[in-house]
Amino acid sequence: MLTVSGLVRAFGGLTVLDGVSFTLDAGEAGAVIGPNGSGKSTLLRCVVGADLPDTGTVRLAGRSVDETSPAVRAMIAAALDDVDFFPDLSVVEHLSLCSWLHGADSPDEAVDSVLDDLGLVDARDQLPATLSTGQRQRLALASCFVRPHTLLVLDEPEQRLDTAGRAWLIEKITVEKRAGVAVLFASHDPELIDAVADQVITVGPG
Amino acid sequence: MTAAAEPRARTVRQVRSWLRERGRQRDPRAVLRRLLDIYDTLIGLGIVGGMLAETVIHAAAHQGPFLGGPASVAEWTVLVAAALLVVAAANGLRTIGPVLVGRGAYTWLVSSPVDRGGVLRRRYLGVLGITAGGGAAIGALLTVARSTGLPSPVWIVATGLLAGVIVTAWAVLSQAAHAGSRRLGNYLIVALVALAGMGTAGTRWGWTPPVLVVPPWALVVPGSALAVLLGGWAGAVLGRLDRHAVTAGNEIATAAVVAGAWLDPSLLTAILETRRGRRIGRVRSRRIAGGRVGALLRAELLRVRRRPSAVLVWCGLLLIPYLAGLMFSGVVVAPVQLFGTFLAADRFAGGLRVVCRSSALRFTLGGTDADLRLTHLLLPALAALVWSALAAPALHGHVLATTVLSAVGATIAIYRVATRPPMDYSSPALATPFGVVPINLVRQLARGPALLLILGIAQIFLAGS
Repeated sequence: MLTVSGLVRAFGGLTVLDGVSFTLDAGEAGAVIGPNGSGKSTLLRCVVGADLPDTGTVRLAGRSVDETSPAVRAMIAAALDDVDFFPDLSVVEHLSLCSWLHGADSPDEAVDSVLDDLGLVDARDQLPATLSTGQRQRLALASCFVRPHTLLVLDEPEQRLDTAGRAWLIEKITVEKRAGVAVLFASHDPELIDAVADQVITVGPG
Repeated sequence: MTAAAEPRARTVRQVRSWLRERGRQRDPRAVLRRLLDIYDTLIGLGIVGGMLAETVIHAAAHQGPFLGGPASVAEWTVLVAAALLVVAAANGLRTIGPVLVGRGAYTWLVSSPVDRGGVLRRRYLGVLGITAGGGAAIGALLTVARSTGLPSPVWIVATGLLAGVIVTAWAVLSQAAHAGSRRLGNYLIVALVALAGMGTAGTRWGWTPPVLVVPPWALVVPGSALAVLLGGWAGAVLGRLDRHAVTAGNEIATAAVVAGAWLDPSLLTAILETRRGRRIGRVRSRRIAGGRVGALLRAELLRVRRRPSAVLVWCGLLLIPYLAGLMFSGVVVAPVQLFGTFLAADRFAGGLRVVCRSSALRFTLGGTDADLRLTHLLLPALAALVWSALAAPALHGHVLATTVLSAVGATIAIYRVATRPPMDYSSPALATPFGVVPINLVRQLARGPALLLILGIAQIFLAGS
């Protein structure tokens, strides 16, 4: 489903990604690991098309990934570090809008279920400016899970989740895999990686 | 057994002297630089003050009214504009503080038993000086637009100065009490605009609104007493300003300075937007449904419902073309309609700006960039069309062509402003009297306004033909 080959990305004289290649099939999860600043987020941004590699290709379902393509946007649900929201819409309205726009079967049920799972029920009517960093992270995750997708891309999804939240995340990614979704995530959490990753992609020095 | 020693509080003078001494040890040339800064400031103030003085002298020598139309309309306009400025200044001052302490001074101010009122007094007097000077300067500028019924320039300048002092003192008192809601200011603005609207409508339909004739001294004498009373009271409460009160506006003040220095207002508006969101906190959520365009439009309408000020500004701005029609020649009304349409409809372009700014949000919403942008342009375009149509009766000829040009031109300008790329400071720079300005920055700032300018000139020619 996802094929990354020979990905090279440099910023000035600093090469962050140097020939990264891997393949991810439907129902598989790949964990991107490496120390801070090793290029994990850059790799994920290249995969969703938010950043263009200097050389190399990213293909999804046989097609080159273009971030502006509606087909790519329909297939990929991503929660990266550049998440943004409308300042005047509440948490539940964001999720509701996202769910409707992507044609979810039962948008209201999907939204209620994810709000409950991620502990956002009490924050459902809050505007984004009032959310804590952790709540924003959970809202970004929630907006991925309320809509249909075939590739899930998550940047350190375990950050700012409590123990119960991390257990939920493991269960959720497992369910996604069973449904045939490919999952690519960057993580520092060995427990999450051991529980769900079918392959580990190491980036950075060495 | 010895008694515990009384803690010896340092005086403000001692703290300042200690800090100055440390500064001199660190950088022996600091004093010279400070003197050069003062010299630069004095030169700048001298130039601006000279220009203002010249303006006032010219206005004093000017015999007839500068503004055309019935004298009462000019008086109404000047008075309402002055009152709006005072209310806006009060709101602005209360938003930033107005007495602030930077990060460096904050550390020792809140952690030591130093006399807080003494430390803050100099800052308070500084703000008071700036606002009183600003009020006097605005008064001086208003004299240019004076009508025969308004008092002489000296009285107007004195009134501006007093207004600056009173507004600042009120803001400091509100700061100390953690009060001073913007709601009162907003109600006042609505009332003033409604008053101006009544005056304008009355004049248009043959009723001359009465002008309350008050002798200048009746305004300035009680104003002076009030300024002294409030100014003194505000000075006395400075010691009661707590750590939250003296630091809450730092973020906005810093953003305002950076936005001004970098010519990028988005740096300030982003922070104001966040604060507004925090002020509102929770809303009554609605489920969003419908087709793709329908769902996005429903979300747009929800945002407008939560921003009633946009509708009020949209309505209030309708006054301007009618006032322009009464006070100036008919040729001027057409470009006023164009610029007014842009300002009014731009209040509804919040969704468009967010969608254009954030590629991550566009990715989350799905569809093409063009779809998302055009869908979010519908509401501002509708607002532009209706506003320009409502302003059309103020025009003098070529009504249809001018109105269509205003609506379409303003919509395109709104789109161009919303789709501005991020500021680029890396291009070659031009040396200007205002400093070195990168060429790309000028191009980005002109994106949108340049189109309005060209269309405005075209409308003047059209109206004059």
